Formats: sequence, C-alpha cells, structure tokens
Amino acid sequence: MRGGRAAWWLAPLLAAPLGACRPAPVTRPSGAAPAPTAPVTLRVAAGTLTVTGQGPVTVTCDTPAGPLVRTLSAPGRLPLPPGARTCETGIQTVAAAPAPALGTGPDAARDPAASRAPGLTGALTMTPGAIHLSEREVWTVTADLRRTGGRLPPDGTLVTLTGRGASGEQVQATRLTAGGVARWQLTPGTAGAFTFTATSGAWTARASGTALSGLLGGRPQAIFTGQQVLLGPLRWTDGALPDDGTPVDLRALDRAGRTVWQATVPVTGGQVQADVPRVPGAVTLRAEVAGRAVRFPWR
Amino acid sequence: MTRGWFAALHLGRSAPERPRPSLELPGAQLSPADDARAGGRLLAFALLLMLALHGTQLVSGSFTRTYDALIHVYFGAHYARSFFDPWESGWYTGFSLTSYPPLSHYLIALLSFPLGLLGAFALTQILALTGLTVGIYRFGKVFVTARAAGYGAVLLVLSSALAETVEVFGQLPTTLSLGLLLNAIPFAVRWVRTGQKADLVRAAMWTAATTAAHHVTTLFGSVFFIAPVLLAVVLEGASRPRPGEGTNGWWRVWRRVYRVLPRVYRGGLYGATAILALVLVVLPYWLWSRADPITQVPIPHGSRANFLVRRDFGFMFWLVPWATLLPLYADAVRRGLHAYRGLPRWPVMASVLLLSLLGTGGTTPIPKLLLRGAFDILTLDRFTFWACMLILPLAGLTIESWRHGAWRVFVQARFGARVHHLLGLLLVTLALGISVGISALTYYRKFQPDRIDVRPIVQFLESGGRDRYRYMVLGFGDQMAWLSANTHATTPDGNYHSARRLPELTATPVERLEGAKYTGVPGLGSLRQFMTTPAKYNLKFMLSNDAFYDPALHMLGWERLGPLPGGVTVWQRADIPEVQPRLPRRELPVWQRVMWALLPSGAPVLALLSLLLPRGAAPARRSRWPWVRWLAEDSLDPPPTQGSWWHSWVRRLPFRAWRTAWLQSRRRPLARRLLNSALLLSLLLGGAGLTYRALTPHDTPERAVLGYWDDLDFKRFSSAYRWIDPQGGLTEERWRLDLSVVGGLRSGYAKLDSLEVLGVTYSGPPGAGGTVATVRSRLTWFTSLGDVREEVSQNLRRTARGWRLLVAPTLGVRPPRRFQAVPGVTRAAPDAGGARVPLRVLSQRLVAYRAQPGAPEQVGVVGEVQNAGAQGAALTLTATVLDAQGQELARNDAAETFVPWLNPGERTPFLITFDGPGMTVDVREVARFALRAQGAASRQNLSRDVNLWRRGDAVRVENTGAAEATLTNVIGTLDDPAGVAWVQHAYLMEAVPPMEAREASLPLALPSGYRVLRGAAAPAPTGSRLFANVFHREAP
Repeated sequence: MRGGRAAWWLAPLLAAPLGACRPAPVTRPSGAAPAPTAPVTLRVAAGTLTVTGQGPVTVTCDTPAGPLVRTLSAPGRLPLPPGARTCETGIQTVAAAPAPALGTGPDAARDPAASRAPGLTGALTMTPGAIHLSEREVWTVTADLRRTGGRLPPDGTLVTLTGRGASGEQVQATRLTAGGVARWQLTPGTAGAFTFTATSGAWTARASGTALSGLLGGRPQAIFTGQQVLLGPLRWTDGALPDDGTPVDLRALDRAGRTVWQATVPVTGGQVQADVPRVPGAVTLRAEVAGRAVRFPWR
Repeated sequence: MTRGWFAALHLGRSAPERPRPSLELPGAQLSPADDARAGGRLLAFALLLMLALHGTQLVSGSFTRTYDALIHVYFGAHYARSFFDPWESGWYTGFSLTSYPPLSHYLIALLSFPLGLLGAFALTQILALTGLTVGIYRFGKVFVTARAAGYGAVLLVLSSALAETVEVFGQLPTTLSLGLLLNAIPFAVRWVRTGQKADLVRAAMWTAATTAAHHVTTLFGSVFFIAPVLLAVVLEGASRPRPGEGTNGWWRVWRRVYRVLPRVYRGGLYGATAILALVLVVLPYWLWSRADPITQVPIPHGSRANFLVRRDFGFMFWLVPWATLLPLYADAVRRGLHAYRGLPRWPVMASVLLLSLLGTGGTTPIPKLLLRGAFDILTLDRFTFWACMLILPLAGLTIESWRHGAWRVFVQARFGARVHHLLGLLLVTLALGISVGISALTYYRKFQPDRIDVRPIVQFLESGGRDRYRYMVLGFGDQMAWLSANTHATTPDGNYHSARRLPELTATPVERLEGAKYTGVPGLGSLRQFMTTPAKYNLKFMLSNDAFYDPALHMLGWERLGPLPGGVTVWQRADIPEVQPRLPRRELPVWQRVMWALLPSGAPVLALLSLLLPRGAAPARRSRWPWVRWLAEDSLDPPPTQGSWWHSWVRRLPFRAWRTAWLQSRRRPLARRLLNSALLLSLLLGGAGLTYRALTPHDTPERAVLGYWDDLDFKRFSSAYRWIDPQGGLTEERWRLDLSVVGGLRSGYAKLDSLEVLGVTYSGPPGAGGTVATVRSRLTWFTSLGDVREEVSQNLRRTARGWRLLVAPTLGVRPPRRFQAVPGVTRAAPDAGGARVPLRVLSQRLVAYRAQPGAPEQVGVVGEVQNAGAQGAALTLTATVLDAQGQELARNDAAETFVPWLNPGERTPFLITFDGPGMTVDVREVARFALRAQGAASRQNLSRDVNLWRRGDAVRVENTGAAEATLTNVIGTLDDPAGVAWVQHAYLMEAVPPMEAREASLPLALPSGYRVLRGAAAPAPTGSRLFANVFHREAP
C-alpha cells in the first residue's frame, strides 16, 4: 500500500524530465497557410515515366533484373528502365508492362525462321531493344522452346547463344533450359547494333538490339596534364550522376597501338581523377567509359 | 692438498716453474677418483636434463610435426604387422624394406604393442638419446677428463644440433646408431690398449648394433669417429717403451714401429670385425642395393647450397646446429692440440675440422672435391651434426676451464667474480634459450600442416571398395606416413625416395609429390603428370589438405566430392581402372628374410649381453713364438718427458706467449675491473646495435613495395598495412574488406615467387618529404597451374615513417542484381556409378609446332569432341603418337586445353601435347596418332552461367550465375573449314562475382612453325570460338 502511494508521486517526477526531452512542437509562422500537398502521380507513355506532384520522389521500378530505384529531386520525366514491369512511388503503382513501348518493340526481334527447325520450335526474345551502357541496363535474351506438338523439351536442353556487335565485339554463352526456357543477361562493352543467334540442335533463332552510350554528350570531357587525367563531370543521359565506382578504363598505347599500361579507375562524384605514371614507349592515353572513348597525346 | 698432489706429479721437472693460473685454484685438477665422481654426477645431471628437455617434448608428441619421425613410425607399423615380410605395398606401388636398416623400426614395432605406435616412437627416441648421452660421456673420457666429458654430456643435451636433429628433423636412426657407436668406441679403445678379448667382443657387438640401426653411421663413423680415436691410441702406444726393445742401432729408427705393432694389429682386428658386422648384419640390404641400385636422380637439398648465397639454408643447416657451440668452437679446437695422459687429441681435432668443413656444403668447392659423386646424394647437414657431437668433449674442456681453470682466472682477474658468474649464467641461459627455442621451432614456425585426424580418411578409403584404387594426398606433410601407417590402401607417392621404382618418380628431383609446391616448377610438373594421367596409376582419389592444388585439380578434370570430417577435401576422377599389379613383387629368399629379421634384432641383444662377459686377467707369461710376443701388449709407462717436443711446438704457436702472459697476470684493482666490465658491456651492446643496423635494410620505394607484397603473401595483414599511407579515409578494416572481396587465382591460390622492380620514377628529389614515387614491378605468382606473371604500378610517398604506399578505399559498383541471377538448371544426371557416355569426335589432327620461335619442334593432337549421350559426362581424352612400326612414342591426356565436363550435345575443343616429364618426341619419327575419348556419367560442373565477350585480344567473362566464378579458364579455338585448328587458353587472375565481369588477354594465333602432320587440314583459320571451364569455390 505504501509502495503504491510512492509510485503515484514518483510518476510525475519521472515524467517531467522525459517530457522535457521531447522535441519542441512544430510551430507554424503566424498567418501562413498550410502548404498544399499535391499527390504524386505516375504516368507511362512512350518509354518515359512522367512524375507529377511535389518534393523529392523515389521511384522504384520492377525490372527482370531486379528493382531499380531512382530518386528525383523534383517531379519530372525519366526514361523507363528497360524491361520494367511496374513502377511505384510507395503511394501509386503503375503497370509498365506489357505496353509495347517498354522494350518489346521492333528491336526485340523474333526470328520466324526459328520455328522451322524439326524437333524443336520456339522463339528468341530480346528486351529491351536498346540499352544504355553503364546505366545498369542489360539485355535479357530468352529462348522459349517447345517440342513438336507443344510439349516442353527436357530440362537441361543445351542452347548456345552467339552474338556480334557493329564494332566487332563478339559474345558466346551456353545455357540449359528450365521449363523450356533458356535465358541470358548480356552487358556489351561497346556501343552499336548487335545481332544474336541462339542454337539448340537444329533449331536456330535470331534477335538484335542496339547498345547506346549512356553518357550525356556522347564523348567524355577530359583534361590530361601529363601526370594526371581528369574526366568529367560525367552524367548519364537521364541526368543522373554515375554511381561512385563506375569503372573507367585507362590505357597507354604505343605507336603500334599496343597496350603498354592499363588501369581501371573508379568514378567518384561524377568525376575521374587518376595519377598516370611515366610509361616508356607510350604515345597515346585512351580513356573509355560507357562505350565511349577519348584519346590524348601522351605527355 | 691439490697443489701438493700436482707437485708430486711434476717432481721430474728439472726447474721449478711457476704454476699455471688454472692450477692456482682449488679444484682445477682433480684426482682420478674425484674426477670420475664429478663426471658421474654431471652425467646423471645430463640425463635428467635430457628427460626434462627432450623427454617431455617427445612424450607430448612434438615429433609428429618433424620431418622424418612419422616415416619411421610407418616402417615400424609394417614390422608390427608382418615381422618376417619386408615387402611394403603402401608406397610407390610396393618396395622392399630391406632398403633401410631396421633396428629402430623393430624397437618401434616391439614397443607399439603396449604403447601404440606414437608412444613407441617417443620411447625409442628417449632410449636413443639416453644411449647418446652416455655414449658422449664414455667416448669423451677416452681423451678428456671425466669431468670434462660430463660437461660434454650436459652440452649435448643443451646443444642446438641435437635439438634440431630430434625436434625439427625427427631423426631416430641417426641418434640411435650414433649412441651405439660412441658406446662401442671405448670398448675398442680398451681392446687396442689392453688386448682384452672381452673388449673386442663388446666392441664388435656394439658396432654390429650400430649397423643394425644405421649403416651409414658405421661407414662414416669409421672414418670420422673410430679412426681418429684409434689413431690416437696407436700414437699413444708409440711413446710407451716395450721390454724387448733395444736402444742402439736400427732400434733407434724402428722402435716406434715395434711399439705400435701390437696396437696396429689389434686395431686391424677390430676393423675386420667391424667390417664383418657391417656386411653381415644388414646383408640383405647390400644384396638389395646391388640388385636394385638406386636410380633416383639427385634431389636438391639445402645442405648442399652455398650458405653465403642462400642464407636461409645457411641458417637452417649451419647456424642453427652450431648456435650453442660456436662461442666455444675456437677454444675447443685449440684444446685439441694438446694430449691427454699421453693420448694425442689432434686426430680428433682434425676430424672435427674436416667434418666442419664438409658441413659447409657448397659454400666452398672443397666438400664437392672431397666427396665427388657422393656430394649430390648425401645430405651434408649430417656432417655438421657429427662435428657438433665430436667436438663436445673438447668443448667440455672449455667449460671445465671456465668453471674451474684458466678461463675462470682470466675473467675473474679482469672483471671480478660477479661478472664471471654473470657471464656464465648468461651463456647458460643463452644456450638453454636457443635449445628450447629450436626445440619449439615447429610450434611457431610450422614446417608441417596442423595435425590431421586420419580416422575419417582411413574409414573413407577402406569402405565402399575404395581401397581397390590408389589415393594420393596433398598438403599432408609427413603426416602422409601416419596415414599410410593406419591404412592398407595404397598410394603411388611416398616419402622414402630411395625405394622409388616408377620411372616417373626416379627421373624427378622431387622428394615427394604431396608437397610438390615446395619444389617449384619441376615438382609441380611431376605432380601434374599424375593428375593428368591418373588412370595409368589407378589413382582415383586425391585427398587435399591444401587449397593451393584446387585449381590444378579442377582444371585437369578432378571432381570435388567434398570435405571429410577434419577438413580434408576429397577429389575423385571418374573412369579409373582398379589396381592391377603393375610392377611385380620382388620376393626375397627365405634365408634373407630370416636373416633380416634375426640379425639386426639380435645385434643389440648380444651387445647388451656382452657387458656380462668377465674381464680376463692380463697374460702372465710371454709366448715362445716371436710373432705372438711382438703382438702382445707389454708396453710400459711412458717416461716423464714424453711428448715434450710436441708441447714445445704447441707453445710456439702464434699468440701462445701473449695468451699465457694474459692468463698469468694478477688480479686487477676494483676500479680497473669495473672499467673492464663497463667496456665489455659497451662492446656487447654496441655490437648488438651495429648488427641490428647492418641487418636493417635501407628505406627505398623498392623496399616498401617488396615488404608490402611479402607481408601480403604471408597473410601478415597488419604488417602489410603498415606499409600504407592511407588515402581518402582508408582504415585498416576497410582495406582488409577491400582485399577480402577480391578472390581468384592470385589472392586465393598463389604464392608470390618473385618481385622484379621494372622502374621507379620520382615526382621530386627522392630524399625530400612528400615526394611521390611510382614503382612499376613484375610479380611472378607461383600457382598449381604454373607461374603467372602480372605487372603492377604503385604510387608511394615519402613520409616521416619512410616510403609508404598510397592506397585509397576501393570503389566498386555493386550490381543490384547480384543476388537475382537468371534461373538456370544444372543437368542432374542420375549417379550411374561412372557409366559410359558416348562421345563423338568431330575433328582431330596431328600437328607440329614450336612453343616459341626457334624452340624445338613439338607435336600435338588437336580437335573437337561432343557429348553424344543423354547424360552429363566427365571426359578423358588420351592421345598416342606412334612411329612407322606402330611403336608407341608417347601418350598423354588432355590437360588444361579442354572442358572436362560436357552436357548432352555440348562440345569442347582439345589440344593434347607431349611435353610432360620424360616425354621427348622427335617429330621425324612420328608416323601416326590415335585418339581415345572416354566419357563417364557425371553430374558435376555442368552448370553454364558465364558469357564470354571478345574484343580484340581481350576476353571479358561476365558471370550471370548466383555463385562466384572463382577460377575461370578461358579456352579459345581457331577454326578452319576442316575443324578446330588450334586451341589456346588463359586464366582470369581474379574471381568474377555474380553479375560482374573480369577481363583476361587471350591472343589467338597459330603457333610458330604450325603444320598439319596427319588429319584434315585447311589453308587458314576462318573463325574462332570461346569456351570456359569455371571452378566455383563454393558450389552453387
């Protein structure tokens, strides 16, 4: 009984310091009207995501390669991530697929010849038709196979994909089917048009796509002082800064064009600053990022 | 009292002489009885010390970390199983144990019944050390006082040579046999001196026991131990007149011969019995070595190196064994110039000097000139060990002098008694510290891997019919012998190269394949031959305790089954035939088997029994036969002036007068003694400081780069970080994190072999603070796949701490998709127990080429195969080249230039070359070739998750799987219309994390001198393809 009484008068004593630690209540300036909070809305049109409303907005798009998050300081437009199925802001979700503009356009070719192969039929699908290099965008190539009669081929059926780009870059990759589907994720290193061919036994199909440089302006701005090279500011076509750590390839070339020194330096804060050593025989410094290159005379 | 006794001994001197300083002290010279008592006490102390220092370590099992101990345990295990059958099938496809004297192994086998094998080894070694300690004491008493011999026995126990031999090298037959030999010599000496037949029997029996333990000790011991002592005894006899000798005429010349005649005769008789014992006791060994001579090519050993060039070997094989005795060496050798009771010590001293010289290995050309062909076969550290043993009694004299004689007077006169005691204590502490430190060397500087529990391995090998195949261990160290001692499964490897018979092994300068990485490229080449063609050796299982070999195992087609309890990883090869007797067992005749069993085991028993023989009385009368009289022992005591000419010569040696004067000077005043002590202390500290400064390397950018990589290579991360000047907020934790996420060949499976600085450029004056230097260096990494080279460029800045590397946190984009890999499937073939899978050879051709322009022409078989079955397959591709008569010239399997596992329908190119150890194919002799492609059902390594991008010579490997591609072998082909024309490959240096990519350079071009010898050919390559063989450290 005595203890219960003690608790009664102890409670305000404890509550007082706790209350004193609480943040001060927000006081509005006298006379100011409350700011209208416009709702954030999303709209998809022609491969572009339009954000309306107010304040910084975080948009998360669900892509085949996983969620892709973009933070906008203000509402505006941004290109729809390739292969995106839905995009959301936490308040609103819009379906981004299967709208034709989302990457299954004319470039995502289906080879009609693919179904001619006896035994296996199927299609080779490629999304998106165009990707921007270094912007975390990848091609997803899918081979969907069926046996004659519509049955699935056995799991583990071998499918080989070969491809070639306009700049001579080639790719070769093998996959095994699961549920009749074999899938590749491809990230080319050079810009240009690419053609891919999938083969499984006698079945063959083709698809093509285009890789674009993600770099705004097409060619990185650079200064080479002889001891240091400075690239930047770099910015992607959608206005975003490259992620810190995005690799930039530096090579010293000799007169014959052979690489005599090479380093991969990361982007920091949209810029690249690298110490370049003295390399005997080097005549050219070549810096490449996002499929675009710039050359300087050495020293 | 003592002085009086000494004076009585020297009454014969013509002029009164000032007593030597060592004799001014009480106790400097003892009566024979006191001397024997003092010696006995010291021997007892030495035995106790031996038990405390070495006995405890042996009982604790420290010998399992040594080099040789477990080999002897393995041999002992054999005799415990089958005493009368010396054929051991566990190693090398079988060998005969008559190739090694068996006494120590018999003792292990005998004691293993109550104690187990390890306990038996420990007890046998303790017995051997007891015999050695007693032997040093008894041997020393022949030519030094009993007290000095006792000090010699104590020094033995404290000596670093013994610590290294027992606790690092784990040698048992050496210690056992040397103890027996040293105990035999006093009997031989007594026989030569007195002619007592019982002593001859004892000497012969103990020598026979020595041979039973180790014949090499008898052989070399005869030269370096027995011969000098017997020579001294014979020379001693030359000074002892005989009753029948004359004094005039020809006697003046020949009396010396007459005096030594009996001793020479008896010495010769003992020599004959020793040789007889040497031949008879291990007769099957001699017969084996004659019938089956060792064809092993010389195996490099550090003890044969030039110690001034290879200081690491000098440290191991010279400095460490001599460490405790070096301070005493000069004085001990000097004492070898004197005689002991008429017995000259110089033959022993000469033997010490010769052994010391031979122990220096290749430092001078003299050992090679003396030993000739044997130089490349012997391990020369044995000579150093013997030198250390032989010098012990002489070193005992030095200690006796320090404690009781001239050294004590000298030091106390100049520094005072306290400094003398302090210095003595310091030296003893130092010796004890060195000895204990070396005994514990295997604790803190591991020569062997951590202890491996062999029980699960034995259970694995002996269950499921796996013992029908052979196994091989990797990274087991000498514990491979312990495994062999516990299992009846067999391995083509072994740890006793004298018994090798497989040409692939005898033609290889590698001690054992298990530790091939320590023998560089040649060792690895031999191991790879076994890995590449395992079917030839019925080799189905690899038990790996060292991830270093993982890359080679995977790339050569071995499948990882997983770890056993205890962490040893099992690798398996499909399609291996069961063991068939490849080399016939060599049966010994029954009489040899019985002889091998009974004589070496009977020799020590007879030696012990010979101690019970009664000593006969001296011959009472002279024989009437003149030759018997000539050879009878009848020498008289030498005259008092005996040896004066020798002593007078010794006194004329350089510095003798100076030294005597110093020794004889009186005690200095206190102030002078203090000053001397201060000077001594300054000298010691100054010397230590100068040594430290001399050993500290200069601070240069090259030194910093070398230190950084060296620390990194040895995983001394904290030390490596000290070479760094952190930039951009780098912390040690962040730096370690950055390191840890880079996997692959370099960081996970490579050892830095060399670092060559290609160039250094400075931004300013090199000595100025803040100057930045750029160091370009070429790193050569030694991997199980061969040497891998890379060039790196690093920036350093001169800071207050010296040159430091500029390192900033590594920035890397972590792809958001890394945990969302594209779903794939791994072809899960039913485990059909290695059922055959059909393969289709799509193209094949025999080509000639040169590895480099100007290099000899080689042949290779190149082509392409396809899995034509319905299951995943593990491939074995074997090519054979034959001459016009159909004679096989060479045979080899595909190694790194093919994909060893194929899914149904999948293809792989291949290139099979014939450049393994022992393969030399003359292109002109090659007439045709044959290819055999075998596939066995497998469900391993069939996932395909990488994209291979090619742009010029650069190949980019993009990993879209869920697991890190730890090692990637990129295989490229050059194709022509007729098929695959050529195959090349390259490894990625770094692992490829999920959803990331790494690059390698793979220039594709036909090699120099390329021409098609057999098979379809086309004018020129028309295309190229890429393939990849990926190893996942952690299976997805």
